[in-house]
Amino acid sequence: MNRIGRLLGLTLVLVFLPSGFFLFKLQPKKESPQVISGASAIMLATSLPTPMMCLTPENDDAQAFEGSAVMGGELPPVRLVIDPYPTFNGITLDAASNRVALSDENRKSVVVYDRASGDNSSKVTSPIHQIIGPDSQIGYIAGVMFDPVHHEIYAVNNDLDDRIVVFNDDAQGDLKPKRRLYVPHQAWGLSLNPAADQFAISVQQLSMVAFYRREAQGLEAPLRVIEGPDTGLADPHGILWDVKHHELFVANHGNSSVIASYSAYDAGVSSHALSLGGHFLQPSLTVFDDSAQSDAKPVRTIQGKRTRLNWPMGIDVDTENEEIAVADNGDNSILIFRRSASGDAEPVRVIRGNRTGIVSPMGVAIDVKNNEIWVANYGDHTAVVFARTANGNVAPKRTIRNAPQGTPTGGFGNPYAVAYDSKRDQLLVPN
Amino acid sequence: MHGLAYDATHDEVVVPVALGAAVLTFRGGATGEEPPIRSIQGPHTHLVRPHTLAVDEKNGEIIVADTSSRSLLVFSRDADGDVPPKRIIAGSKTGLLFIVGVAVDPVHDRIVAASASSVRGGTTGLFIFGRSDNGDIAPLGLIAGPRTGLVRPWQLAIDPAQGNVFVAAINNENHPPYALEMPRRDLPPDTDLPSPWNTGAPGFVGMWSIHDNGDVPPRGIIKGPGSYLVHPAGVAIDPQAGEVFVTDGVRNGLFTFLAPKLFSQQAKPPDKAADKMGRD
Repeated sequence: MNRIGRLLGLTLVLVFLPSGFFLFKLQPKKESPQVISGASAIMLATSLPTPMMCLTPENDDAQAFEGSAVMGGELPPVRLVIDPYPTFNGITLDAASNRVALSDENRKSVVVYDRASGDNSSKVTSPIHQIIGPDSQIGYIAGVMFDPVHHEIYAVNNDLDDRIVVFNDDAQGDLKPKRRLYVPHQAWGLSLNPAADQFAISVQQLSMVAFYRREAQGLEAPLRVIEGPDTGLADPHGILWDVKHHELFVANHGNSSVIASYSAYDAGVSSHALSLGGHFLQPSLTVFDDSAQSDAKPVRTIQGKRTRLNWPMGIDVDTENEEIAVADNGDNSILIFRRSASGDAEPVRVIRGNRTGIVSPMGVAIDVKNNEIWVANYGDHTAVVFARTANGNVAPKRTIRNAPQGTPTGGFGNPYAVAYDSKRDQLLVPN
Repeated sequence: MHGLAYDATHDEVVVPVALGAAVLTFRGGATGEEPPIRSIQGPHTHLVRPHTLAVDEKNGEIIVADTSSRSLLVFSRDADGDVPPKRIIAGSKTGLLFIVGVAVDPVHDRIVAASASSVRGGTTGLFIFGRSDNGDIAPLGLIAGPRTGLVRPWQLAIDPAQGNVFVAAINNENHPPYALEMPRRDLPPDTDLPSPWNTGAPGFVGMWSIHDNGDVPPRGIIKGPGSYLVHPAGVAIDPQAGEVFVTDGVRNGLFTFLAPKLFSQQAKPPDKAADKMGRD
C-alpha cells in the first residue's frame, strides 16, 4: 500500500510504468458514498493550483437538465488518486544570480529555488518564489528558460494551452504574464539566443523547430521553421541553441508521421498530407546549423543502439568542456556525449543506478561555474545535483524536495482517458 | 496518448499512437518496455492522427477515431502491419469533425462517436452510427444541443447490457491559435484566446441511452462541487461493481464513483425517439 492509499484510508496499489500508462489496483470494491473529509479533503484542496482555478460548478447550474428525471447528481468519489505536490519537468539555471527554476506540470506552476539549496535530508526544500494560478496561464507546462540578460523567465505550455508565457524573473504568485505568444500545438522545449535576439522552440506533433523574435507576442508568426522529412525531426522535445558554435541540438523520441490539419476550426482536411503512414524511428539527437530552415538536413545525428537514447527529454550543452547532457527518461539516466559526437556514438559518461536518485528524468542543466549537473525528476518529487563529472551509480551531492521524502508521484500528465481491466481489477491511465 | 481500450475477451490492451500514426496491441499483463504483439501502421492503414479507439470484442474489430482525417476506421482485431481498414466512416454527411471519443455497442449494433466543432454550421455532440456502416453516411442519431449540456464531449464508455452511453463532458473551451505551422489567418493579431483552465462550462459525466436522439438531457449524471469534477476527460465503467472511473484534467487525477443506479436502468427506446431515429 503506498502513501496515497494510506492518506486516504483506502487500499490502493500504484504501479508506475515509465513509458506508457499507469495501472491502479483498486480494492476493496465496495464502499458507501460519503462526503469526502479529513485527509482526503485536504488532498483535494491542495491538489488545486489555486482555488480560483477550480471551476467548481454551482449547485444550481442544472438548468440544462431542468424537467428531466436525471439519476445521480452531486455524487462524491469513493476513491481518488491525486498528487497534491509539484512534479518537476523542465529546469533552467542562472548561475550568475544563483537561481534554479523548475516547471511543475502537476500543479501547473514555475518553482524557483536558490541554487545552493537542497541537502541530504528528508526535508522539503523551501522555494524562493513560485508562479502559480489561473492568471499566469500556466497549464501542462514543459520547458522553462531564464533570460539573465533581460531578467525574464519563459514557460512553455505543452498541451492544451498552445502558448508561451513570459514573466519577470522575480515574479511571484498568480499574476498575468508580461508577454504571451501563441504557438503551435504541443510545443515542448525553448532555447534563447541572446546574440540573435531570438528563441527557438520544439513542436512535437509537427516534428518542427520554430524560431521567433525574442519579444514576439500574440499571434506573431515564426521567423522561420525547420520541418520536413529530411530534417530527421521526429517528436522533438529538448532543444538547445549553442550560440558559441552556431548549432542547434534537438532531442527526438522517434515518433514520425505527417500530421494533417485537425483543428475543428478548419473546414476541410489537407488531403495531400493524409495516408503517408507513420514510422517509429530510433530516438536521436539531431544537430542543425543554426541558420537552417525548411527541410534542412542535420549537420550530424547521434542515433543508434550504442547511444542508449530512450525517450530523450531535456538537453544541455557545456561549450567549455565540449559535452552534451541528455535526460534519458526511458532509461532513468543522464547521458553525457562529446559535443561533436555523431552516429552510433557511446556516451562518455552515464549517471544511472539506484544510488543516483534519478527517476524518469525530464530536465537536465549543466552549471559550469559551480561544476555541477542538475537533474529534474518526474518520477520522484525531487531534483538531484551531482558533480559535473559524475559517472556511474553515484549518490547526488544534494537533493531538492518538493514533497516529504518517500511521497510517490501520481505520474499523471494530462490524463485524458481511462480503461478498466476487468481481469486484473486494474485501471489503466495513459499519459 | 488520449485513448486506450482493454479487450477482456482476449486479455489485450490496445492504444493509439497519435504522433506515430499507429495502433498498438499489448498483452494484458504487459509491463515496462515490453513490445506490442501487433502493430497497425503504414500508408495503407489511412491512419494519420489516431486519437482514441474502442474494441468490439464480440465482432473482433477495433474502431479508431482519427482527428486528422476526421474518420472512424474499422480494423480487424487481429490486423497487423500496413493493412487497410475494413470500413471507413467519413465525409460531409457524417458530420464528424474533431473526433475525440468512440465506443461500440455490439448488442445494439451501434458505434457512438464524440465529435467537437467550432466550425460555423458544424455540430458538437454524440454521433450514433450503425455498427457496420461504411462510407460517407449520415448518423442514425445525434445527441446534441443546449439541453444536453455538451459543450465539449471527450471519452465514451458503453454498457451494452443496458444500452447506456457514458460520456466524459470535459466542457472546457479550446481555441487552437495555429493551423499547422502558421497562426490562423481568421484571428485578429490582438486576439485574446481564453486559457482552457479558465473557461467553459463545468464538466460532468453524463449517461444517455443508445436510443436517445436530438437535444435531450442525460438520463444520469455525476457533477457538482461534491463530485470534485472540474473538466473530466476520461471515463470507464465496471457495471458489475456499479462503478464509474473518471480522469480529470484540472485535478490531474483519477476518481472512482459508486453509482449502481446508473447500471440498473435498461435503456428502452421511447416511442418518439424510436420513431425519430433513423436516416431520412
